[in-house]
Amino acid sequence: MASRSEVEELSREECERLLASRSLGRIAIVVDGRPQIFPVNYVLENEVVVFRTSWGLKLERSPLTPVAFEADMVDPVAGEAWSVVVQGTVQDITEAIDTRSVRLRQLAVDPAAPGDRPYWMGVYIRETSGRRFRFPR
Amino acid sequence: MRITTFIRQKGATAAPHETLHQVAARMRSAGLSCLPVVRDEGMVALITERDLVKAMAISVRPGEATVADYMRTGSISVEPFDEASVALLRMLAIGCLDLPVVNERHLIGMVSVRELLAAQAVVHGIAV
Repeated sequence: MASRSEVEELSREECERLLASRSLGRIAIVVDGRPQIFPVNYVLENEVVVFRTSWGLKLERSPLTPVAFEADMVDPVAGEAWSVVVQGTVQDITEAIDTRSVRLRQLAVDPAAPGDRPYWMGVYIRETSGRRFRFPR
Repeated sequence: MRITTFIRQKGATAAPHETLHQVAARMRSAGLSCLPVVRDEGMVALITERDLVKAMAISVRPGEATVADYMRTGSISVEPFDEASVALLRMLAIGCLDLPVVNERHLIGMVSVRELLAAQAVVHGIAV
């Protein structure tokens, strides 16, 4: 546990535990040379961040490209915050027939935003980093 | 039902010395789930979308890793007079939605799971 004013670097295991505890994150992709960030609801499963999307930039531009994904939490009552960032590559698994993709599409990934999100995407994690720190309540 | 009818002319391919990023960009723009790896006019291997994603996740230097490091060999193609079911089972085994068609080692074209399944549905009287 980080003491006050200390920033604690998190292990990969702790990063994955924290990622798995949340369902809302942000994916950053590069579109025409410019970074763009999108909030998504996700599920973490065996080093893959799975989210659903509608037709648009995430579907058209992210597959087979390097992306970053971030999730965080600020707990004002406990006076603690953490952030986890992963680097990875996206695969459009909507129609994929490999066994892992088929299994990932069984996950309960529930987008909070209204509208159909029929396309399934997986961010295959390459690197993970995370930090946690405490702040005055 | 043989696959001859469903062969699309050959399009995008990969070379063993190309980087994963080069091939990923080509696979995306071709809208394919795999690319035949060609050397000296002959198909020598296959690289799939899944292979690329996995390689990019585990490679020490993904920007420098080449197709040759991660391509697969074995039962990775069909021949023009193979049955559609052979192609479908092979796609399922590999986990990709397209498959190269070769005559001996010479690449003729590709078949897609979507077209083969649609044709199978017609043969079996299934409405799609």
